[in-house]
Amino acid sequence: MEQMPPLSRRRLLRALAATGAAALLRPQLASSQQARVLSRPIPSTGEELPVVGLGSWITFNVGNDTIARDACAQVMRAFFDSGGRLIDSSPMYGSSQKVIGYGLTKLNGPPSLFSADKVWISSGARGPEQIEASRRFWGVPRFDLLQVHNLLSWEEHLRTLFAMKAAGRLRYVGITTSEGRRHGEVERIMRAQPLDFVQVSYNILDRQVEDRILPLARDRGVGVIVNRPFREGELLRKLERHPLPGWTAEIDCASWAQIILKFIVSHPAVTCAIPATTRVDHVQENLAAATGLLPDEAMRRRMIAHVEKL
Amino acid sequence: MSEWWTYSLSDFLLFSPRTYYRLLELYNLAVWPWHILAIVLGLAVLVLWLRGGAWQGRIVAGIVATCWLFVAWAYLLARYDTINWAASYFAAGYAVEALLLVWTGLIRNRLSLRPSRDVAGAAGLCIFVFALFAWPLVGRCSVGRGCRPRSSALRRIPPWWRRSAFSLRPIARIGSFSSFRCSGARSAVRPCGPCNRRTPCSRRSLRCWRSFWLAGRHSRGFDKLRRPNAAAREPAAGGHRYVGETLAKFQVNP
Repeated sequence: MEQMPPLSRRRLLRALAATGAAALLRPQLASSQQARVLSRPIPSTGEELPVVGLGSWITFNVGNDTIARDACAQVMRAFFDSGGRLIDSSPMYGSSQKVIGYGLTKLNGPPSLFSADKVWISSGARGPEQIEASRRFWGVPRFDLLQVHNLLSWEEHLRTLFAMKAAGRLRYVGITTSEGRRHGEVERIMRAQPLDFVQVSYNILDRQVEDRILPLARDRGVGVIVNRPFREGELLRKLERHPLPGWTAEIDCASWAQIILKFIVSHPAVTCAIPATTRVDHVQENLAAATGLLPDEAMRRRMIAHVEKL
Repeated sequence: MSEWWTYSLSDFLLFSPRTYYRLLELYNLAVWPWHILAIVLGLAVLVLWLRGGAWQGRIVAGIVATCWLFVAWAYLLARYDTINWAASYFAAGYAVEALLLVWTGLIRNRLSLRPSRDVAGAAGLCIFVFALFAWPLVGRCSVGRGCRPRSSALRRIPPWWRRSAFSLRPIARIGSFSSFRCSGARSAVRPCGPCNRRTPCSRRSLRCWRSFWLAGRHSRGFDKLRRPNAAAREPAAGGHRYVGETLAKFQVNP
């Protein structure tokens, strides 16, 4: 059996110096990694936002379970370490807001956070009360973005949100829908109201928004947040039964999840996609999709053709 | 809300299976050792069911009402509400159920259970015993953790009495949504049989007709519902049971 060489003073000092250098280098590597994360400007202000965010539907609704809350905090830590900014939630998502607040406290309130939440209550008069409760759950001084969830009582809530924005208590206003519902109404609101964001469902197989919503968003200067990029995991489970296509490396992808995300964020109207996950390796994988090359229009067509055949 | 039809049942699930199982696990750890009392109470219901007695109805109603209230508070409000905002509404329903049991069984003493040797009675007894002794093990096995003895501590409080109440009152077809709705302790509140002349609300209450309608959904033999005792002796083909066929097991005192 090979023996270890004796540890001389010189070797020890070298090892200590190398360890110290590595510790100093690590933040630089992390920051350079963040610098590589692709971002898009929010159309209404030009503020840059990484193209991959973090959703919290189902995944962060873990109640008071401390172990699960800590796991969510780890996911958030990995998200911020990888250069992510936007976290999205809603009062509808059970304990998700509280769990996000728990994670933010554990991470000492990351300064890069872009907080996106929703108002979801049928009574317009009780909207401000719900927003304040959400803000306390998050533990943030104010939200960056508030959206009217699924257009519920949208006229009353939009009045509230625009008033908050005018008073400097909110930076951006938006509306949301999911799974292709009420697109006609979304379109009408986008035309009539000075929205900053619209949130819709979009992925390589569900592309209805390409017809009207996304072109309109570009025309009107509205940012687009994409929810359910993986159809709550169903799309990935289907695709992962098949080998990766030969062109995967051409767009700097290493997994189906990255292929799907790159397809979404390569649409010029999309500002940010918000996949949800409970796993650190998945959030890192998702953020890796916000690096490297994005598919061009020809590649996007190729991707669609390939996936539709599977 | 014309888009309601576009929602699937899974769209209303706010949490993952893992979160739900973990919630149950933490809940059972928190309420331990009340599980033992729950088993004792279940056994008491079983004994009272078999032996009868002047206070049978009152005691059973009291036990079951207490269990409804306990679950409403300790499980739905204290635990489930943390992952499902609708839990408080469920809890309110459970509380109403408990109050109705108290009113009907405890205060008015209009609840009595009678063991029966027919198929329906035996089935009810089997379900009760299964709920009391086997269900916690099934729950444990279904999440792939093995049927260890410790598993009896899991899922104890909610299941036994719900499923035993379910068995005290026969059901149209076990497992079907309609039969679930029309069975259980809820039906014990007004345990009248459709067209059963021995009960005071026969042919007069809306509940009676509703039970009749629900039973009809599971059978083609409406005529058997007119003779519940006969129906109890002759189980329907295909394993179907009628709401009305065993209602007599849980009669309202005249």
